[in-house]
Amino acid sequence: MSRLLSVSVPDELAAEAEALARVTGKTKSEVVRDALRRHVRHEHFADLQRYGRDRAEARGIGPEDVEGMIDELRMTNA
Amino acid sequence: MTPRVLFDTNVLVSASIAGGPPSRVLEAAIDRRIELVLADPVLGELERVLTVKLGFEPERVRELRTLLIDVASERVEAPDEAPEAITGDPDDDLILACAVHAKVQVVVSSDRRHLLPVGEHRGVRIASPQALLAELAGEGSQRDDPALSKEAEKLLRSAYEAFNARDIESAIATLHQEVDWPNGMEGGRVHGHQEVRDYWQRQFTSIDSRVDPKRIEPCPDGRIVVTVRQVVRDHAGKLLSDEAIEHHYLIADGLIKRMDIYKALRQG
Repeated sequence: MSRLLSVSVPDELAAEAEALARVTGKTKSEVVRDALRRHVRHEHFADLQRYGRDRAEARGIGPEDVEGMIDELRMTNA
Repeated sequence: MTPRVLFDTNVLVSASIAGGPPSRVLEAAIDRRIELVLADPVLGELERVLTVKLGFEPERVRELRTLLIDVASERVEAPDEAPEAITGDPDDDLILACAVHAKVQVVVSSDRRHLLPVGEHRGVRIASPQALLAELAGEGSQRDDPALSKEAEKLLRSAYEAFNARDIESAIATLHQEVDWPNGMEGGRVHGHQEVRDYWQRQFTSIDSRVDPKRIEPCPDGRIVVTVRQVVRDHAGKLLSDEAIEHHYLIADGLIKRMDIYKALRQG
C-alpha cells in the first residue's frame, strides 16, 4: 500500500534530488522515500534512546553496567 | 560492499540507553552503511534486559523491536545443532553460532571477557563498536585517524593532574557547565559543576584514587579515548583495586562535556 504525499521543497533542493536520482539510477520517488525513511527511523531511535536514558538514570544504570546486567540475567536463566 | 554485521546484545542494550559508539553503529545500520543482522536469541535477551533490568514499558519494548526488525536486512534463528564451545559462555557460543550460520562478516560486541578475545571464528570476525566505526570511517576515503588536537590533550592532562592533586576547582574548570559525568563510585550519573564537585568531595572522603593517563587517542566518532591506570586505596593505604580503564570524552566549546567509563580492551 502506498499513499501520495505532496510536499513542497525549495527549487534548489528539488534540483539536487533530481541530480542524485540521475547519478544513482533511482527514481525521484525512491530518493525521497529513502531519505524520509532514514529520517523517520533516526528520529524514532533517538526518541527511544531518550526514553531509555531516562529509565537507566532513574535506576542509576550507565553504559558501564550493561555487561553486568546481561551476566546477571543469564545466571538467573541458567 | 556493505558489511553484514550481527549485533551482540550488549551493543543493542547500550544503544538503547546512551549515545556513544554502540549507538553510532546502530545509526550506521539505519543509514545502510552496514547491514544489521538480528539473531533471535539476541532479540530475546535484549527484550528481557530492557524489561527486567531497565523497567521499559512493554509498548516501548515492542516499538524498539519493530524498529530493529525494520532496519535489519535479515533475521536468523538459533541453529538446530548445539553450538561449539568457543567463548566460555554458552549464551555467547549461541550468538557466535548464529553468526556463523548466517555467514556474517562481523559480530559487533563490547564483551571483553568472552566474545572479543575470540578475535575470529570460522570466517566471522568479532569487532568492538569503536573498531567497526574506525573501519567504516576509513573505507572509501584514505582518511587518516582524526588528529588529536593539542588543546584537547592539554585539557585532559590538566584535568587528571588536578584530580590527582585533589585540586577540585582546577579540575572543575576543565568541565563544561552542563557536564554529564559518570558516578563511578555509587552508580548513575551526575550533571553540572556542583554535582560533580559534591561527588568528588564524597569520593575523596571515602577512598583515595589515583588516575594516570597512559594513552590518549581520538576516535573516528569525535570522542577521545583515554586509557588510564586507576589505583584505588582506602585511607589506611590498603589497595582496593588496580586496573586499566578507558575514559571516553566528548569535548564541546573547549571543555569536557561528557565522560563514559569502559573496561579497557588492552591492558597497559
